[in-house]
Amino acid sequence: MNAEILGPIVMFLLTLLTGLPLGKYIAKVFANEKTFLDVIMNPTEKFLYRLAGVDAQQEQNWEKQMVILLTINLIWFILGIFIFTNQSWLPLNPDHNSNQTLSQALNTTISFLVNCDL
Amino acid sequence: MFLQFVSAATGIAAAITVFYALRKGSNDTQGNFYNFFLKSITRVLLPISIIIGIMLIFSGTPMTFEGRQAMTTLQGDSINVSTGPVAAFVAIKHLGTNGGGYYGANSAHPLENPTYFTNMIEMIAQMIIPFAMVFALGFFLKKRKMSGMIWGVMTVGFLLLVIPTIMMEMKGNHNIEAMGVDISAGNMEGKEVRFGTAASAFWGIATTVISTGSVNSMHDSFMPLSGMNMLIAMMTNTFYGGVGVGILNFFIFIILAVFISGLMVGRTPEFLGKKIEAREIKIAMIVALFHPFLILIGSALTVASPSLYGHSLHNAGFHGFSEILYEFTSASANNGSGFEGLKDNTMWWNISTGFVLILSRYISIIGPVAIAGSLSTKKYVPESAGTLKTDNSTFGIMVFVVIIIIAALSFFPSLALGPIADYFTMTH
Repeated sequence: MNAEILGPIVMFLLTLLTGLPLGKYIAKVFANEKTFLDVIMNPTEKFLYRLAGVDAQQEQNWEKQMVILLTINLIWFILGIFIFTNQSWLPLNPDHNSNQTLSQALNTTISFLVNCDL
Repeated sequence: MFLQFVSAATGIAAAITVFYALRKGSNDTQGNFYNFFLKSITRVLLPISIIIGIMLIFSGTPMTFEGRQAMTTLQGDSINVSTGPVAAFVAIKHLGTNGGGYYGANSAHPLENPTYFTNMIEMIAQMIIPFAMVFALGFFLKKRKMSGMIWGVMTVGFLLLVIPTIMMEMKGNHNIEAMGVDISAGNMEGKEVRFGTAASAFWGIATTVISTGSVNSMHDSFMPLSGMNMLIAMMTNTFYGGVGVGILNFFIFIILAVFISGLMVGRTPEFLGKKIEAREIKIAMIVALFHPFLILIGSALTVASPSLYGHSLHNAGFHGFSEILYEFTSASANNGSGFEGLKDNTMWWNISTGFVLILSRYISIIGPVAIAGSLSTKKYVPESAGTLKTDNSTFGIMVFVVIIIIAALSFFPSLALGPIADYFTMTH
């Protein structure tokens, strides 16, 4: 075997080494334990919750959670379609890319929405 | 880019709902979704993607709001190159396993992935959260042995796919050698010289087992059986899997394995002290079979009516079939990579794959959450001597076999028509 094969092995091991502590950290975050980002993020989150008028302490069952998930996804879907079909006059488009056709916009939005980007 | 954050956060949040549902004892509620969702972004995705973004900027990835830049290429042509907030884009595209590149050539593009070093960063970025979610499960439920088992099964599956692929790609294509071309670098068609075959092959499999779908080489030009390995990677879609959803898919297979092994030894199937009954199994089976259903029906419909795909197909014959199959598999696995011989911006491809994408995404999120939710409310049965252990290697093998059976039985015929036939045509 030559040196080329070392690359993937190093990548794999590095991922494992960084993944373990990250997993521990994620578990801590969601078990509502103290983590080092609390200083900045606690106020930020509180502000965002107040802005959105959401009570983040209230316990929900899974059906309620899935309804929320689908609703917010639907809002992004509509927003996405709007942006892609109107991008020629919207800001932050320095290259003046033209509007997408409806079927292309549909596909692009869906694929971003479902974490795929086909 | 906003969508890349929120869609990844949706996956993580849904997985956390399952974590909460699997806690000890009988619970009617599973925490707060807004809380999970916002925290996924502020505590996990945002900080890490900032770190990765900064590393990419220092390695030469552009980060600007200005438009195209004129450049002169080595051949002396002058071209306009799009620039923009590329570094930020690339960081979250991998971290959130989205995979939509800033440039059409994705991570094979020299501005998106300038060096071997950035290639490694991007590779690690896309694998790190799927890894971490598995470990997080163990830390959260205080069942580290179980996450070891899950990680072990995933790794075995991953290695079984990645090792042969790297070997095949490094060996190269003998038909090309017969034409008098030096193939000592391996199968370099469609690959970038700065990454080489081994790293490209590793990326190819990693990006397909995880639902990233970003590419640093052209999958269409891989050896036929490497292409098959990528297809299998997406068909099982659970060896690590996408951010959050990988562990949800694996959860389905665990439920099925618990049920089957429960039947084999004649005990009531139990998982983490909760009885698994008809309702959970029904949901699990629907989710498990829906994935092959979407892929195979989609491909069959397309192949049956050539007017639908028209001139979008680049290769005829077996390889053409592989291209169609790959496109639907990629859509259903929410992967997003493609055999780019296929020109997929046509009416048919946009609409059919869009449809497949939506169904496969939400069913594979809601299904596992529903199972976990219904397990959660059940009475907790303490573990006894008669309980089937779900955290040892025996059970790991069981889960692995279930995955293989479901993937092999449902997909083998289509693989035989596509990449395997392609392979035999090439060698003879």
